[in-house]
Amino acid sequence: MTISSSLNAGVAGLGANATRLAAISDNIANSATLGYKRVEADFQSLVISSNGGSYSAGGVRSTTQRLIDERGSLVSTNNATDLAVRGRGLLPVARASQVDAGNSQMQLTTTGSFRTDAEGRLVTESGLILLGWPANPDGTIPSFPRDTADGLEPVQINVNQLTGEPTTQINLGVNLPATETEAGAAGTSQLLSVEYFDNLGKSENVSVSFTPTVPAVGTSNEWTMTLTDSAQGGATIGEYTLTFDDSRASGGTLLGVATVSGGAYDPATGSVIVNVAGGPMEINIGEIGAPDGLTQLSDSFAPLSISKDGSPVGNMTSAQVDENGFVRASFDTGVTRVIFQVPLVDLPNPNGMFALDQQTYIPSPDSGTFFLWNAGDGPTGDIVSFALEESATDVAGELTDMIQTQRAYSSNARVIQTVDEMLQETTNIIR
Amino acid sequence: MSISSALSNAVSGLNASARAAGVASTNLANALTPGYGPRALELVSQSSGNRGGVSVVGISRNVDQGVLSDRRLADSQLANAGTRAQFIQQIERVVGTPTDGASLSARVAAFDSSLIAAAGQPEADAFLQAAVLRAGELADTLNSISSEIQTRRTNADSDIELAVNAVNSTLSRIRTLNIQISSAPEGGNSIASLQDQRQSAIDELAEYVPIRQVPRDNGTVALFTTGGAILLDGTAATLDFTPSNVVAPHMTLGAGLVSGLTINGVNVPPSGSNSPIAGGKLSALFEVRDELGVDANTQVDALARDLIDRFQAAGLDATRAPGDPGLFTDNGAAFDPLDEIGIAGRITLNAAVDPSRGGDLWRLRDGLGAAIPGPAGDASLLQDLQGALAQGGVLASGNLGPTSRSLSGHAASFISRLSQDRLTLDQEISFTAARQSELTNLELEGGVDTDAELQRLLLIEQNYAANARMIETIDEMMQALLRI
Repeated sequence: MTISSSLNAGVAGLGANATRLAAISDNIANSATLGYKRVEADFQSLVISSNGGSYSAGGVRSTTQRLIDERGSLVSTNNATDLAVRGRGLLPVARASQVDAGNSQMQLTTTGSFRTDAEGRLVTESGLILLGWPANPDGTIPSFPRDTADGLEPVQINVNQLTGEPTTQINLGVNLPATETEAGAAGTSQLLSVEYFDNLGKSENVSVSFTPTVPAVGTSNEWTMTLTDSAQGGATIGEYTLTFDDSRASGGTLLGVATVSGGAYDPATGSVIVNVAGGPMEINIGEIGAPDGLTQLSDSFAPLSISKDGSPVGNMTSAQVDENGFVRASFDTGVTRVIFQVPLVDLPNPNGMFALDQQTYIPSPDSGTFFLWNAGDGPTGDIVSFALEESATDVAGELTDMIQTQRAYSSNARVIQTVDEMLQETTNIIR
Repeated sequence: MSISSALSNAVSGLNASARAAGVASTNLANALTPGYGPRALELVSQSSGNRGGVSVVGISRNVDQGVLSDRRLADSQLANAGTRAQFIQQIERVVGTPTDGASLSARVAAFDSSLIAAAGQPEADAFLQAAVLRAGELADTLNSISSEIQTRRTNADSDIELAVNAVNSTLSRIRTLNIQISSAPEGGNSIASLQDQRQSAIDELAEYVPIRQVPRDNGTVALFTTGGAILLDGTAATLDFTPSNVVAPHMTLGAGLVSGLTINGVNVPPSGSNSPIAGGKLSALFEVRDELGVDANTQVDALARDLIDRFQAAGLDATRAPGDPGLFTDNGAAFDPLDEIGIAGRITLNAAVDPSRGGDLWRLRDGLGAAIPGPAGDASLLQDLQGALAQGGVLASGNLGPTSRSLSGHAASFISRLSQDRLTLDQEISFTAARQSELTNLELEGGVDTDAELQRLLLIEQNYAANARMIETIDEMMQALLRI
């Protein structure tokens, strides 16, 4: 029945082109929607039979696909928590309504203008909450399972919350004046006071005094280092005798550390452990022969690279997300610390995901299983702050597609009209 | 590449040009602002899939840190030498140069010649009166030198308090700026102006203490003094000093009668090569109070003591009972070598010869202990007095040297020592000032180059026009498509 198959093919063509037009209209409607991914209509021909001299038209069938891996261009904004992904990978989010109800499901998106809500959570206007792994109080990220979203929690920035971190390690990079250990030198002690934060965030001091050994003749290259703790009323917590090398190759570096009191010197790490009021404190004075710890050169006392961990108690004032997805909070004490890590989610076939409202997607059997990567690691791109991803729609391309679709639609209508006329002819044979 | 992405690229180009124009305008507006670091716009080409465009990474601020830190050290040196020189100049002004009629050596010479004149005509009251007046003036001059030294030391003490307060408040300001810089979004314009402010604040600090600036995380800085004290590393150090209302001659740091300096509660030596704050105005003020002032005091006291000793010597005046004061007294009493400190401030003429305090002029001729006037023509005591003034003697204290000289010789050596100190300091000042101005010039050379900015502005204008033209063309293309 070739003539009725033509009619069917024509009707199928009308339907397919209508679908394509629907996709185009959706794309154009969302040409200004941030993070929108294009829908593309794809046509497949159907073949019925082609035996002998007659041919039956099979018609056309249309399918649509959302091109989730196609990227829009990034536009810069002036909000630090406007996030976009440059390259592969998607941001994990959850719907605020679901989080409040306690049954959140991880959804994925490529961009979002996140701002803090009343509870300090980073949430978009459309109600998507950014998810991330919470960091330990010292700023490190514990290991979480990466093939499930179980470890992810809403990223929460608790402004006005007081936090601090006690100091457990002090690095002393100090140069001692070599001239002070010569015979006839004044033998004055060099004093250094290093602030540390105790377990309650109070500021205390470890005072370090370096006393040279002045020999009768020659040079001794020997110093006595005494550590005292202000929290214990200036009690001595450690005393060490330091000798310095005066050879040509490694002159001025540590040659030996003899413990008088306090914890023993560990040559492998170059540190001594002493007990301040709040517990043990590691004081790193440098390895034997290393040029970056204590040195004894020339005639100046120069404490140039003293560093310590821990932070004073302060209020969180703002947060930023860096390109590796670490959410860094700034405190009013000038300290910044990692409080969350936002991973990037990648799947073998992103285009296979189910698309939901508000430019979010969820993994489906077609997309394959997801994996949570550190941003910038593996196949994923990085997270860009102060940026949003524009719609992937190209209006000019959609318009030209629309013209094609219109032509194809009219042609199909023409086919139906022709078939109708031919059938009319056939019916007119019988009078 | 499609029309939409072309449009988006052109818009990003427009944005970048607008930001660049903003940066150029900031630079031009601040061409004369001290402490302004010229800004530059950092651009990178944006790549996201097959899209392009340009993105603004941030605004960088360009400052030559090497020249800056050298200039700060020169600032400290200049303030240090200037403060010390100012003290010496002031003392020199009261002590006076020998040509000046009111100077110490002129007063000694006037007293000497008045004694010679009185000895020539011992019966003439007018000459005796002149000798008594000259003696009184000599004592007054010593008093005024001593009181000037104490005034300067007292002023130095209150200046130290002001300096310590300034250092503390500047440190806390720098700390606040550090915090603002670390929490400000990266690369914004605000961070560069905060850096400008921080640089000026550190410049202010550098006048008081020589500073070494060390960069820390997130754009913050740590500040150390070149002597090794930690002024700011995360938290700011607190300097503490207790001012005294009056600094008297006996009040020295060694005796614990004036306040030293503590940093975070730890006592530090405030001056000298071992001091962690050595080299700036603050340590110079301590030096004025504790070293230069004390030293000048010792010399003046030695001179005053010498003057008293010369007239208090046993056997000089037979009428004077042993242990009684001589012509010059320690506030009316005999001088005790144990009370030497501050004697220059207390030295007075013996009231017995001063008619204004109930004394009689003739006692200068006849003896301080004489009950009635002796023979009017007897000049022997006057001659002895003049001889005591002119005879060579070694100073019993002080450190003007063990040379035997007359009193006027000692006074002259005191003055030349002062002048020598001042000359040395003047040379130091002229050297540091030249170095500081040279470094300041170098720093200014790294400032805003107006010509280069205007040239850049031309390019920015062209670039903006080109991007705008691009948008216009894209619009025309879309119109053409919609007309089909």
